[in-house]
Amino acid sequence: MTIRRTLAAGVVLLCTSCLSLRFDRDRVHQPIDEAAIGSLQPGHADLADVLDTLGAPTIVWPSLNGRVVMAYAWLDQCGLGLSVSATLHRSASARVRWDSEDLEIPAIVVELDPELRLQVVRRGLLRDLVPEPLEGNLEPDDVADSLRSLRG
Amino acid sequence: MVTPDIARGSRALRCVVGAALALSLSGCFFARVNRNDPIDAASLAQLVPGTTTAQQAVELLGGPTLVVQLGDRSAYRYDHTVTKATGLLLGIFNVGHTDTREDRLWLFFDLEDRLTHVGTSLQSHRASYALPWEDLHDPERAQSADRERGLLPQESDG
Repeated sequence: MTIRRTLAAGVVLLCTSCLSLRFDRDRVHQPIDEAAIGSLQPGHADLADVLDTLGAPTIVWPSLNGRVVMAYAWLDQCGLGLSVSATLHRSASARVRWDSEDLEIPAIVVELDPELRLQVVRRGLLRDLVPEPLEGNLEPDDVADSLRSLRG
Repeated sequence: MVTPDIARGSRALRCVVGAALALSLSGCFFARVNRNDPIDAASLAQLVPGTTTAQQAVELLGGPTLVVQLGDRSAYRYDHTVTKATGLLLGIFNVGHTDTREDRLWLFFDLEDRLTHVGTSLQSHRASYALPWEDLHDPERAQSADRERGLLPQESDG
């Protein structure tokens, strides 16, 4: 009898879709080729070389002392999710959701001097590489818009 | 007393009901989201560093999505994003995938608003409807998509 009740409860859960498991993968843009990055020599390469090798950056912003900084970012992330929902009343419902994802966006940041010659290439997570607040007239909303596109 | 015929009929009925239940609980979906107008690859050939002005660039491509002041210089960003989403609904277990690619163009202008550098990445056509385990960054797949868009010459049969 207990097994039947458990099975019945399981069927009810399935039919009402109040329990669901999710496996998601989000891919945004294409990762930058490591070999291409390695071909850029700080002190020798200039803006034209960087654009020819890596293409158009995701974000560009001015840094201190007239430097120009460009970031190339992409995303390839998998996540598991579980959600449970229930109707409490005719006009009220509740939902509990758990996700394993923690958004971490890999990026390459290149820094050019005022003569647009490459000075530094840094790799890491975008949140660690992009300073807050940014220099110049770039508004936080502009950057947020650029980053929002990464989430699709 | 249950005859073999009745038992067989009952089993078949259960199978049909089970299959119907499984079908009713499963499904799939596809969705596509476009942001901004595509960047015309042909019009990029008309951008000539040292000659094209910011005004001519805007007349050719329209207003940029972002303008960044870089000291005496400025940079204009144009972008077109395509997201393709795929979902597989298997009862309580759902699988989802999104692939977002972008056409991106940065134009760099000097103090006199004259074009100095152009950075281009045209990849929006590489967005794919796919499942999470598929390899989307296969070079051959990318080349095939580039060829379809006309960014690479068509392969000859020979």
